[in-house]
Order: sequence, then structure tokens, then C-alpha cells
Amino acid sequence: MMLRDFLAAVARGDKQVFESFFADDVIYTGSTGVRMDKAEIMNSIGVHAANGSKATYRAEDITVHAYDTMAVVNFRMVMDDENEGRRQTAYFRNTGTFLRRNGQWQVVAWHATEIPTNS
Amino acid sequence: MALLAFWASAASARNQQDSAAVAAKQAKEAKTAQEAREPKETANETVEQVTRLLRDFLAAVPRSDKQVFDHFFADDVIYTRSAGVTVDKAGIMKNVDVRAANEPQATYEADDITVHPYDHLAIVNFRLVMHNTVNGRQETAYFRNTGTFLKRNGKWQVVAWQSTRVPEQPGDKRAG
Repeated sequence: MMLRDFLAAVARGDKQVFESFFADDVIYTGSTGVRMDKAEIMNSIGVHAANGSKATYRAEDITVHAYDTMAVVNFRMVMDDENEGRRQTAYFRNTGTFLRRNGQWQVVAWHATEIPTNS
Repeated sequence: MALLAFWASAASARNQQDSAAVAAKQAKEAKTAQEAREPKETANETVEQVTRLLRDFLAAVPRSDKQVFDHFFADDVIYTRSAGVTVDKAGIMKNVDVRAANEPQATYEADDITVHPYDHLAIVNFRLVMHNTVNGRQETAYFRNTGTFLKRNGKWQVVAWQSTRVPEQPGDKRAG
């Protein structure tokens, strides 16, 4: 599954994976409410790696609504991280809109919202 | 006899495959005919239509008119609130009265709108500005929203929506 493969690859910071997962015209909104385009997503990979992040990501509670050449994917993303030797877990609710063009599925919209830990 | 049963079963399977192929062909032809009846919009027309739908919807939210919500959101919408909670259409409709009771004076508008039009699909990203009065004091809150609009049977409706509160001072660009 594209989503699971992508999340597994994020920790490696593999730019090629990001390049093929996100369409050139993607609109991406991060959990801080900041909107980014493809170039900004690609730049953020380097920042993530430079910070020495050990975070890993996985998806659970996945819902897919498939249409003709489009699909909406909603899931809870679990981020496991380590900070000063302490394990930390954060949760985000994400929605992705995938579009199939020229036989290739790619993300044209992505939106993340952090789930407060007390909810 | 066993051989006959085999051929009968093979013929039946073949007939079923033929029927499925015919049905698929008919469905494709029907879809093509429907698309031909629905004149294709230009990208600019799509942008104008969904932007107008968005502005009209936000202007109507304070009235808590359930019919407006019912038209705007598709029956199969996936909606994620800024609290990170995902609800379906029934959840949205239920919340209309809750919002009216909790935020009776709130008004909403959109700025910094981006629309990416595709064939029967449009992605809309914008900043939602909420004006509210709490204990006599004017308050303004900002949310970044993404909506996915799908055109079916000549009607644009939202099939996905997500909202994220924008902090007063945007902080670090955390993953998400």
C-alpha cells in the first residue's frame, strides 16, 4: 500500500520517495497550520534529517473512499520519537487526496492536524 | 456426465464473464454519455464555482441552516475538525445545533484562498477567520482548511474536509 510504504520510508529521508508520492501541484498543510508547496516539502526533508530526528511513522484507523480516478484517505498517524533518551509518541489525524494521472497515483492535497494527548 | 458437467460449468462461467464484460461496457458508455451531457467546465469556471460555494457556505453557517450543510457536504464526506476528531455526515449535521448553542455570535470568512481545479475534482485550501464575542470581548481565531470537492451528477459537493488551528505565532514546522 502506497501510504504504508511512504510512511516507512519517511524516516530514511529518501527524497525520491517524497518526489513520487507528492504531485508537483500538491497543497500540503502541516500540523502547525502552515501551508507548503512541493518545493517546500522537499526542502523540509533536509531540515528533518539535519535535526538528527529518529522519529518513525505509522498509520492506523485508515479509511479509504475510492472514486473513479481519485481517492480520499483518512488515517491516524502515530509518530514515535526519542528525546533525550525518553520515548515520546504523538498522534496526528491526516487526510490525503490521491489523483491518478497517466497511470500514476499521487497526492494532490494533504492535511495534518495534531490530536491533543488528552483526547 | 462429469465431462458434461464440466462443460456446462465452463460455459456458465464464460456466460457470466460475457455478461460482466457487457455490463462494464454499458456502464462505461453510460458514464461517457453522462459526461457528454454535462458540459466540461473550464478551469476558471471551476475555480469561480467552488470559491462561490465556499463563501456562500461560510456566510450561511451562522444561520445554522441544516439544509445548507446538507447540500454542501456529500453523504460520504470525511470531515476532520481542528481538534483532530474525524466525523461523518451525521456527525456534521449533529454538530450544527451544538455550534449554534456554543458560538451563537460567531461569523466566518475565508482569505488566502487557493483552488486547484481538475476534471471533476477541485482542491480548495484557505485560511478560515472566525470572529466571535466571548464575555463581551471580540476575539478572532484562524484555521487553515483543505476541502476536496467532487462533481457528481452536475453538483459540486465536499467529500473531504480538514481544519487545523493556526497558532498566533506559528512555531516549528513539525512533521505531520
